[in-house]
Amino acid sequence: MKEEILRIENVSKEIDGNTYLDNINFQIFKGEIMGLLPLNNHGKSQLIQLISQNISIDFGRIYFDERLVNNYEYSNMRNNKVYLIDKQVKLIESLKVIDNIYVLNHEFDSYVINEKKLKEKTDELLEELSINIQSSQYVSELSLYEKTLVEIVKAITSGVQLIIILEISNFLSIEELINFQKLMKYYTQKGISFLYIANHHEEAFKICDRVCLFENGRVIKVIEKKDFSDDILKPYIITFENREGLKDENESSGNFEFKNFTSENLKGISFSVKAGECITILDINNKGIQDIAEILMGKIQPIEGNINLDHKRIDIIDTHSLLENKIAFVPEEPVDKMLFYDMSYLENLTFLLMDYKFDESIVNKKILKNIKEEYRNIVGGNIEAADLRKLDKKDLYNLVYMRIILLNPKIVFIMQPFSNADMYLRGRIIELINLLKEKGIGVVILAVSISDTLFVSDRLLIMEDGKILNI
Amino acid sequence: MKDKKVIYLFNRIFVVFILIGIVFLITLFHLIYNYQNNVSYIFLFIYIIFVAGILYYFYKWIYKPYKEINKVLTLFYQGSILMSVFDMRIFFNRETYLAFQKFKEIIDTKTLIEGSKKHAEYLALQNQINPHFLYNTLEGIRSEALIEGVDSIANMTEALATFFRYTISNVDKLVTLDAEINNVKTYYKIQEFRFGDKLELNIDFQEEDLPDILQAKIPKLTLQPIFENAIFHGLERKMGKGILTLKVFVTNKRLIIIISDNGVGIDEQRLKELNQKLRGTSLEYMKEDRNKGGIALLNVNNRIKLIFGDEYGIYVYSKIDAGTDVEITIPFIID
Repeated sequence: MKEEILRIENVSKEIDGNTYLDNINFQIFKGEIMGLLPLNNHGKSQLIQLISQNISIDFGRIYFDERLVNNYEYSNMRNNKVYLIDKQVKLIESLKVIDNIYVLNHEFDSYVINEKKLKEKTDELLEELSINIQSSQYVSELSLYEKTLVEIVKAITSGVQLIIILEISNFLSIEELINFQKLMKYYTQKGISFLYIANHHEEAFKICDRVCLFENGRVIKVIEKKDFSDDILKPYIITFENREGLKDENESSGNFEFKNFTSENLKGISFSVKAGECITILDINNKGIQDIAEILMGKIQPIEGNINLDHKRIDIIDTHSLLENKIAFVPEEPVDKMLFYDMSYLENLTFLLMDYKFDESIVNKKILKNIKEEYRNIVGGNIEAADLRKLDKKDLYNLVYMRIILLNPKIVFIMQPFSNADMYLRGRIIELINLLKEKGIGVVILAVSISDTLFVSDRLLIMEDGKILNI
Repeated sequence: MKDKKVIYLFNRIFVVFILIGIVFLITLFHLIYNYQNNVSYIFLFIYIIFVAGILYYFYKWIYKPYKEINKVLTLFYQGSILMSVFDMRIFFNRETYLAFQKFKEIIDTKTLIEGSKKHAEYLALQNQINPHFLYNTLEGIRSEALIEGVDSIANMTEALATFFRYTISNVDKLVTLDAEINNVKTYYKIQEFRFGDKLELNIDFQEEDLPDILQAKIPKLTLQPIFENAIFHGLERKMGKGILTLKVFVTNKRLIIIISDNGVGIDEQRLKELNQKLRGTSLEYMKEDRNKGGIALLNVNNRIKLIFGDEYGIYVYSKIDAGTDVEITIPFIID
């Protein structure tokens, strides 16, 4: 007999007249991994919030562990025994692992702390889970993956019954992900349930017992494990087309070369990109691409190695020199990092352009007018927007990529382009990257998960332990 | 509904409260401007705490429950809830509470069930045909067919007779899931004569508690109308093979039955409206044209909600060209 750990029944939630959850209905059984594939992100964060805390709702009922905890009539605002694992680590960096697990814990009620005993207990626990972390290590010394493991252990020792895993493949490498999922499986045996939110069905199908599709604040389909197949999803998803497929590298040198690059985590990597070509560097254990990003931003200097552009050696000192050398860099989730929401669309579009192309702070009005007319054809009326607050994500991504196109670099590095993007947005990003390629710009995608990168890449390079593997 | 143009009692009460509040405030200002020594300073302090306390309790004890009751009553007149209105957490006063209980008695679930039942086609059938005459005739056809050696006709007549016997007899009682599923199988058998290989029925259980599940009690004729719906609205217009699946989950408290078809599906807007209707107990549909699709769902949904309460019922998942899943939730009862 199954037990329902969470039951969401006909729940509607409106905020300021916008319906975020629209008569949503689903349940999670005890000890199962329920997948949630958001086809779009509308209502996703509200759903996560609602599962964690009993905030007021406009209609419906929520049961946690078969008890009614929230209904339209009365919401007690209490927290449920739920823990959210996402990129934001909720541990205290300056404390040890053991303190994070036990001391900052509501379930831990001893007044006298026997440190030795506690340490033994923790070490035993970590060993049982085959997690290779010392309980006396400080959290700040751990990698993101290790922090995530500590979080999960902490959550479970504090009596949590449901863990929400939010788009974890965006920040864990393939290898780490496999180990993490093993740990999840282990805990399901102990009756812990998971809500596994992922953007890709291939990822969810591998680990989940059931998967539900989420769109416009509703669950539109629940799929059982035995029905998992690409066919069953076909009516629900849009498919992206790969124009050419992967190609072999036919020339040894291209326009842009990374030669023998070595840094703390990179061990002599070399690759080259031609104009209008897109390559993906897939970092299997999440050890190298961060270094590439930091070198490009001028944060760290490589120990050894050259960057050649059109057979000319270039040095990167800071972001400014990056642009001068016709290299652009798009960070992960660029709409949060590259845009100024108080400035107008045009100002955002021409930002950086002024410094670098014209070497003056105010761009000539005539030029501005020309740019405006040129880009109106592509982005439409948005170009008139006085600030960016009313624009949706798709338009913001347009803006980011249009800015790059306007700068006309020779090569663009894109860090995890598809992270945190729903299905429709990913389709748009694919179009944008293809646009970059059409303009003759070389594209290097740095990624830890393969995601949709294969739809745009001409070549795939796999990096493991800071080395590029030959395939 | 016509809105009455008067000042309602509770509006009056709030006006009085606001007036009292103003008097308190005037006293406060008076105290602030006229304080002379430390004693009045302390008094002022106590006074402010006192007023703040009253305001807090006014908010928590009166204003919030008032809003709550309002919300429930609004949902009630909008048709989203029905019986739940009688189990509000707080009532205005004892008399309203008793009055509500009286309403509950007057409305009486049974008459409503009767009302929703009346709509169903099987009752119309019962009124027109003498059931025993029908059974006897069907049996007659069957034996005639057996004598002539036409087994297919005999089987079909037998299925039809079994189906009618189950359908026409006493409908307002609970039956076991087993009996319901058998009825679905009989119905499928009849439909099979028409659709042949085009139709397939799969029944799927959690194996570990099979006997338990089959003994669960559910309202009679809950499943068959939904299968009928799935066939006529989902599969009939579909090209290729139609697959019907019945899945049952059971938890400590609930029985969850999912009936899926791989038919044409329902478009998003209609689905939204349908689910909206299904979450409330509306008797409106009885006045509408009965040939419109989806009535079977509303009818079964209303019966479940009237028998077991607002938190049980039907929810539909669907997408054009992908098929439809109908999820029925009822309490898990064995006795």
